[in-house]
Amino acid sequence: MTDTLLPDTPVGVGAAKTGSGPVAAAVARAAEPPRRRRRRLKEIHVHLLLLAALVVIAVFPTLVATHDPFELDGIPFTSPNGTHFFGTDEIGRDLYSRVVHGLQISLFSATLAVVVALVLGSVVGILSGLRPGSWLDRVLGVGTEAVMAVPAVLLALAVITTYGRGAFVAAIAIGLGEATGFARLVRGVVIQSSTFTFVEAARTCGAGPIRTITRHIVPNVFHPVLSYTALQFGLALLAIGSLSYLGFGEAPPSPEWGVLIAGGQKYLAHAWWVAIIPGLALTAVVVLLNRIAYLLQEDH
Amino acid sequence: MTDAILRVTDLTVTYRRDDQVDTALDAVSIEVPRGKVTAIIGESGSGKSTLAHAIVRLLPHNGGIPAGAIDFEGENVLERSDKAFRPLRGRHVGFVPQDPIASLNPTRTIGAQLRESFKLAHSPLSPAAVQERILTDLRDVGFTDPETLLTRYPHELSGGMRQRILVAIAFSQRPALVIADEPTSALDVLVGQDVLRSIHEARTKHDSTVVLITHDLALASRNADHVIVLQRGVVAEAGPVAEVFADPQHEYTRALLASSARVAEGRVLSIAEAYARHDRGTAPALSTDVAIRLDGVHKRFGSGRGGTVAMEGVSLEVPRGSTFALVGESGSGKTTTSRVILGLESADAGTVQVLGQDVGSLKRKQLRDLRRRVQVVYQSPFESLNPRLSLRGIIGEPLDAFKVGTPTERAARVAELLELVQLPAAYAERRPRELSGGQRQRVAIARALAIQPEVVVLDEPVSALDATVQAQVLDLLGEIQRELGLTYFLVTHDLAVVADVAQTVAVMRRGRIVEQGTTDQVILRAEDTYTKALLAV
Repeated sequence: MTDTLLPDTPVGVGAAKTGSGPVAAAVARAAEPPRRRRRRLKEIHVHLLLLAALVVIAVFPTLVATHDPFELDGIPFTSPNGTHFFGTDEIGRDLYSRVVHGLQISLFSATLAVVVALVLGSVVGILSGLRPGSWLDRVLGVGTEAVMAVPAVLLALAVITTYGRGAFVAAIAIGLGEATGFARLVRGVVIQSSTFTFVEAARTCGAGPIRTITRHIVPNVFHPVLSYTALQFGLALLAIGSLSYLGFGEAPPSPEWGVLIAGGQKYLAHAWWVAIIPGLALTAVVVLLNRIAYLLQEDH
Repeated sequence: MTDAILRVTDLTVTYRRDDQVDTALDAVSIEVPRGKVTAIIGESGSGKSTLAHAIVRLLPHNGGIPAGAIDFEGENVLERSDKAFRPLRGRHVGFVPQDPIASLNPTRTIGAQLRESFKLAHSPLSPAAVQERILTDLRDVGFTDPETLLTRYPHELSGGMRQRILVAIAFSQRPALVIADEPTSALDVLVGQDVLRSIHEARTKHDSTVVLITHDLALASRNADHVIVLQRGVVAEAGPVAEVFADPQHEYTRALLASSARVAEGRVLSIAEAYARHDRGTAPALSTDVAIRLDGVHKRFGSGRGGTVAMEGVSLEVPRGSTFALVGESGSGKTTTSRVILGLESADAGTVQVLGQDVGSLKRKQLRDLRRRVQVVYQSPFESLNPRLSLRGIIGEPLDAFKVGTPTERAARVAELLELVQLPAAYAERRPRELSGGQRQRVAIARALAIQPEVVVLDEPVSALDATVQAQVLDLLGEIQRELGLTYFLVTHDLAVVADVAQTVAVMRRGRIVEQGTTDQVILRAEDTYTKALLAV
């Protein structure tokens, strides 16, 4: 699955390669970005602003939460109204405040998962991409494939049964699984960027390997990886929710969204909001992240 | 008025780019006389390919024709719908594309693709007659064994063979007009000549009119009867080749002709003639001090039967302070030779000495030290500059890498280098995409000179540039050499460039050096048959 995510267009130089002809026109274009590009940038900004707002809420949930997420301060199964925006759950806790606090757990564990995946994957990817075909590349390649061969959920379950349940362990487990995709992507773009003449030019200019990587390869790898990160962030969010839903992540009474959905589904028939609203929240955040990933890729 | 098969009147073509509209052709009017070869010449961005594509209606989706008329055989074909136009293509107008590699379907045999052109044109011929005609056509474009050729796939053929097949396809329906868009620019010189010869033969046999799009003045002068000079989407000048080239009326035509040493007084000079005319003053005696010495160098890529030999016993000497040119076609091993000198590839056998050091035996650190003294300028300035860095970052790279001086001194050095390559100091903050090809190559030269090397390897330094820009960049390189006393190792496919700048020359073919000596010897008194063939172009 991850292979199809590899960018099939050359990174970086593509745009720069086109003709030398009407220079004046080209300069004018570069100086004033066309309207469509401005629109796209604007859309990215709006989406990033939304994400930033979510992060603020995740860090300071009490800013927007109206109730204590654990306190029984309402009549069970009150439908959404003025005091309880999302209604109450089966024992009378305010669902809105629980969803807000749940965002913290979800967002933080997904961040952790993605950071683990990004760091591990980039290190493996760069190491194997710098000398494709070397013994190191082959060893890392076999390792990556071995991890990929195990279904992600199974891998996560194995880690969790070994190290105990909870959002933290679940996040690390998910991150390990996602690292393989990053490793493949980074390896691909590193190999591709190494073939750019300017990378060789840097070497003949006397630039050492560290300098070549940081100045010439990483900036060109950055864009596809950034976009892929946003995509994986959404997937991590989903995966963590799924693990909790299955009972391997957070446990009740935690307001983690997977837990909320699992708890609420018994009452779907007469109190739809208890399961549906956390589900919608999860969907909305994942869609937001996917959209950001798409826009970043487009921008590139 | 002459009998014109094609008459374009006030044609304007625009390209939509996002919300912007660029005008590629601005009210262009041309006439193509029947039965003749008309060359459309111009530099990149002049709109010559746009004109060709507009005529055969192959403009990209963002191209539009807001005004003008294209009269083919007296009918304005712009009034035809796409569907009504399609029967014209192939049957009445043939097209030879620029890139023979991309223009044939790799999954189908040559025979199938030739037969397809008959099928698409709804040819009334019987299959047997089609087969017969394909075989004759292939013989006409120079294939001696067309029967076996039909069963082969494009990848089994060389670029020149593929281009001749595309010529055969273009002429297969006996069109009245054939448009060839830079048919030889992707090919080696000698191979390109075969292709042009095949076009001429097909043209005379089938009595067609040919429009030849090219940037090469010598080629236009030798192959065309009429010439149309385009400059930035406007016709600068048009008329019979002999007249236009002998007595150019437009300033731009004069500039183009001046940039090509090969065309003078309305005719093409041989390389030797151009060389003899070239005023080189009194050449200083070659130094006996040797900067680069290769002795019996072998290099092979891959192993076993699939491997290729890139260098076979290459020996050469480059005197210090001079320009040495290594000439050869693609695949001759000339680029490998330059990479071996730079230490980017290691030789399998033989010794490589650069500035007195044996490159093969150097440790990584010693090689890096040697690179302070040996720098390189690559062929394509579009690929050799990191698009994300400013010119300050690019030119300052070697200074930063070798930690030369303080940051202020480095900035001053960058400014100095920009001045040396005749770019405004304000360009330091620009990025490569804001520059033209010639300017980018100046940046690449500035970067190579930043740490004051003694030897500069020039790998086809001007072949990606327009003719007028080529001349400027070569002049600049010459000035810098005289000023700094550099040694140049020039790799090129173009003997005309060599005649301009080099003191010693080696001609390489299939990994071997076939001729070597001073430029006088090689250009004026060549002995090897291959060198002679190259010189005869």
